[in-house]
Amino acid sequence: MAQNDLDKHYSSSQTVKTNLPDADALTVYYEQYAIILKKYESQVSYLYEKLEEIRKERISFIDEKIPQMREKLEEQQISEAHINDWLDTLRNDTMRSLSISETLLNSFYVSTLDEFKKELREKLSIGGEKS
Amino acid sequence: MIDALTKMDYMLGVMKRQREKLYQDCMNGDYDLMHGLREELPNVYRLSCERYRLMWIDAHWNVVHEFAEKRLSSEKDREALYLYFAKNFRPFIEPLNFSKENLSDFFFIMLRNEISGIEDMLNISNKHRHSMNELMNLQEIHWRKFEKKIAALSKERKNVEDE
Repeated sequence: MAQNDLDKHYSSSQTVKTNLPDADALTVYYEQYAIILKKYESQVSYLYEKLEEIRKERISFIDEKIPQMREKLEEQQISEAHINDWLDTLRNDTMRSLSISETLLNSFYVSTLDEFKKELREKLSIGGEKS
Repeated sequence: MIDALTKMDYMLGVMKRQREKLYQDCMNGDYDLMHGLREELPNVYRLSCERYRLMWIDAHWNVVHEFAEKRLSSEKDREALYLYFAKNFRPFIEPLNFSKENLSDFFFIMLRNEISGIEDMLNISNKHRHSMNELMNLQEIHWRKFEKKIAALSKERKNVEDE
């Protein structure tokens, strides 16, 4: 290896070394992360449950409720054309309602994540100043 | 002060309750719905279905009001919930304005009426309570207007049949 290459290699490995966080900094980071995560635990599980609920409701509406409603409307002697028309309307309104609910949850997720990151940054910078 | 999670939870509850109503009305053979669906005259059928649908949309305001009155004691919290609901409910009804569905001009007029009520609530500060009351009254106003329109169409049909 030429002297120039050796110099380059040596200087680049030094750069990499200096960019890596040291073990203490990593430990502080994970400790703070775990503390804040614990604080947001109930919100995270709430979001997860609600999104899961919506996913299940969407499936049950298509697979179970629509056939049940079709059967009921047939029993009520409603014409086939009106049944199809009405079930389309119901499907559109229900799907739009579910989408709006999902949008609410997703927006809440994004704002919670921003709050989480902000809090983590604040805690870490306070920790850094102390050390 | 009511927090973001609580506001969202209430709104999710309102939306869910109204979705359930659509299903239950069908399964329980709700009179207005079945009567409309059995209608043979195309114009009357369409208006009857639109009336039911608009009543269902309007009822969201009454449900959110009921939630707020039962569970929130402070007027400020109730206002915060109404504003949150208005802001997030608008994208639910606005797409109907551009819908490819075969909706009557009459339905669009009523719908725009409701959208403008929401805009008033969001844009005019200190008028939330007034706007909320107006939105809650829409259900009855829309019902009456549809009734008149359907009665006029039915009368027209009767006259044609008599001739």
